[in-house]
Amino acid sequence: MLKIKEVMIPDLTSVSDDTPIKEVVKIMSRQRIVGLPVVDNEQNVIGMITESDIAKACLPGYYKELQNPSFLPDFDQFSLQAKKIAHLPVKEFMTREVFTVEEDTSRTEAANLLFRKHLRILPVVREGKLVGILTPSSLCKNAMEDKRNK
Amino acid sequence: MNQTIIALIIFIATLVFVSMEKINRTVIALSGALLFILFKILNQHEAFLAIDFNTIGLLTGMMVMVSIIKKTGLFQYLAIKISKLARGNIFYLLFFLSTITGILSSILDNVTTIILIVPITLAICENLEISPIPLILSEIFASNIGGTATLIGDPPNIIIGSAAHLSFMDFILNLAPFVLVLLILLPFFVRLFYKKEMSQNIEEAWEKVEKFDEKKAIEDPRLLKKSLIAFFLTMLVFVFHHNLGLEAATVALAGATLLLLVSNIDPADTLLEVEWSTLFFFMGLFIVIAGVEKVGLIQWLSSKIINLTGENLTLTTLAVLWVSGISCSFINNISYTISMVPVIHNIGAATSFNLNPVWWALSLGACLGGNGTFIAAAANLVGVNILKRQGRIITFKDFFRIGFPIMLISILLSSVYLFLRYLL
Repeated sequence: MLKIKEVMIPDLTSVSDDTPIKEVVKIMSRQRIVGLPVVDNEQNVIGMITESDIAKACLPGYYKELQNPSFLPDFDQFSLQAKKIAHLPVKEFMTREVFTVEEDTSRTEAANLLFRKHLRILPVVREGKLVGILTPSSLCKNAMEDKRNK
Repeated sequence: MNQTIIALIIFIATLVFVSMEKINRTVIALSGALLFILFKILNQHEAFLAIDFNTIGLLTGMMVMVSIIKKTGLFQYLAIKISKLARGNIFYLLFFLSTITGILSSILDNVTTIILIVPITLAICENLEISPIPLILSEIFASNIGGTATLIGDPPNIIIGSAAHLSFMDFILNLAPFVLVLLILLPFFVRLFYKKEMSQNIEEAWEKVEKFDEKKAIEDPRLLKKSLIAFFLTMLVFVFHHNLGLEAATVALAGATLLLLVSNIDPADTLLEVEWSTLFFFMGLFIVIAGVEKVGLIQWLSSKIINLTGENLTLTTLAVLWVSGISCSFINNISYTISMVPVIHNIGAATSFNLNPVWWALSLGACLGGNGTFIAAAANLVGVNILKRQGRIITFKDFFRIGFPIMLISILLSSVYLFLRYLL
């Protein structure tokens, strides 16, 4: 049975929990990824920060309450709030309860987790330490290239 | 055990648990109703007969209509348009927002009004860099006051209207003018309470509010046009419903059907937005009260009240007003009103009173009591929760300090109004 370690992307890009949000956004746009694992000094995965976590934090508080924000005038409120959070550390916005998979998990089990929980990035770990990531597209690519079902 | 004691226990337990809000109120009301049947105080037939389907139909019809009209963005449009009239004056802003909330709440339910108005207020306040608390509290108070004005504004009125055969116009003629006075006075009182916040200068930042484009709030102009025509037609029929020999529920359900017809919206979606939980809460309570009535408790309570007030209409009216106001500051005003209806009917049967002033007293007390504490009305909790999500915590005490005096003053003014208009 194929293990996840043979399918994962061996990308170890990650941030620590005191990295400023500004840096995270830079890494995300440079690497073109939608989320980053947050690790401690020993590479243990302690959280996850995604584009949508950051986007949510950039919105002014009342925005989520408005049923229809179309009447709002300009970009000011958005950029004001974005500037406010730029220097704050990742730990204020990251998700702490993250899903991870051990590297010798089966593909089926990982696929289940990825699709059922609508995850866009799933960190792969060896005894809690980051060894790679799994994304829906990497899993789909692998499935399409699967030689056994030709 | 004696059936009367069982009934009393179920009744009190229902009231207490509903007001504690630890367990869902609908589950409590349905459990109470079920217990009355299981203890054979009522049989199923009697229980079903106890449900006032005029009230249920009116509520359902209004819920359907509001759920369609709120999609048009009309209410946001009105709120922004009216806010702009303030022209950089913070008191005017408070006054206009609070008054429009009161007026909208007289046709919408209070919670919907708060959900629509409060976020717009937050957006305005954030742009002006002022605290939203005085404005939002004033809107919460206004929603409870405004709801008192019409038959459809607040659930106690729907219950009273149905029980006492009072029409839409009866409420407009007897309560609306007085409620309008309360609505106008309210911002002045709030300003007294929040002197510091209300003395801020917002002229410089005002241009940001001017940039809000209310026209963009209208998402679907065609739907708006159609629903407005249907809505006004319904309101027109409401004005004459007694003369036409139509019950209020018929009018509301006809309006809802008409709106569904012209809007082309899938009824399956709209019906999902009907608050079924609230409707079943009402049904449960109607059954609970029927059980209490059957064992004679209501009659007993009514005769005690008559003994106390000595068959004096003035005393009875004022007693109902004050007891309702204070009680409904702490207990749910729907369960209170449903319990009081048969009591007042009994008082009417045992005396030669013209009951109308007593019904108005019940309506004013039950609706205005909603301002007493933040647990008293659903709109209060919804408003306070939105503030909490913005990191602004309003405690029970914070709310009580301004809400309870507002409740007392409005009940005091109601006493004067009822006395001068009906009892002199």
